[in-house]
Amino acid sequence: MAYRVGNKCIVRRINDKKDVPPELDESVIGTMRINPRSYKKIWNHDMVDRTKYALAGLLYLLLRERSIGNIAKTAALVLALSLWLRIDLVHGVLIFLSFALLWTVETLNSAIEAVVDLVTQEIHPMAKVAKDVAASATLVATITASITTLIFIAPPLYEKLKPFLASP
Amino acid sequence: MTKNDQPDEKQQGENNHDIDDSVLGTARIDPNEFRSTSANPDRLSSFKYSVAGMIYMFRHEQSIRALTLVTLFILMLLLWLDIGNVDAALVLLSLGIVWMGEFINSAVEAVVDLATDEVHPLAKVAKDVAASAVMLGTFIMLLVAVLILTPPLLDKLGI
Repeated sequence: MAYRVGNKCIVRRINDKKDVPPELDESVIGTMRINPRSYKKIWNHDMVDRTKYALAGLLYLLLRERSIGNIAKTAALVLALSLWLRIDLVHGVLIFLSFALLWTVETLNSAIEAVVDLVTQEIHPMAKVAKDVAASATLVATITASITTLIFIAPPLYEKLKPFLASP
Repeated sequence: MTKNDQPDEKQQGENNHDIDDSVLGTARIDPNEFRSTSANPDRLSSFKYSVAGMIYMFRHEQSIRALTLVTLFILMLLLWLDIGNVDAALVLLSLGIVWMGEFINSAVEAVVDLATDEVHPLAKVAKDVAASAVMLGTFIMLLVAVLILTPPLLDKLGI
């Protein structure tokens, strides 16, 4: 069964034969043969919808997620520092890339947390594994971003602060 | 794909949550209403859980051990050949992408295993697509590493 809501998204019931486990094709092109639309209730089929939901997710993160706010503050601080120190354009782009990576991982982390909360209400070991591993992905991205920032910010900052440090 | 244009109110009523479909609708949802556990109280406990996840990965994931070896090898190469800051940062960033992909992949796998015990095509799609994200990241990392490290390595070896 499939039907329209408004003229935006198409709603479709999940396959009724739930009890029969479907046969999986384990070859390389087996995954390609699976049509996700036959399992989805709703999907976005135009660019406007996709952009709208992406913006909605961004707003949600900015209002609800504390770590995104921290990253935004840190990014503003690093931006101000790099403008003050007049670092190279290439160095600035690399710092920007590392912060983009951090932001992406934080977003994916929130998405995984939401999926876990959606799937189960109980306390389950695999829920812990999923949430912890997603959190450590953000730790890895934080380490990468800090090292990249340190490589490019620390030497010019030291040069800038040298007269103040060497005064006594 | 048959598209039936007639809306069926009865089936729509099966969903008991009213979803606000505007751009601000998502931000109005309070995640704590749906959680079984409360959100992390402070930054220290967030950090604790991310370290716990990392220890889990080192304990249970084969690919992380291989990735650690590759990372140590590349880091030693970076230190041995004194290459520029920008080149080192590029290699580090691409390594970071692979690590991040590996962790997200494991998280997705855990979510899928949590969600269902059955054999399901969508579970296969989720796991395969997450795995191919890691593969793409690995290819790009290898490409970046080879492009950046080969010239100084050849110089150092005197070839």
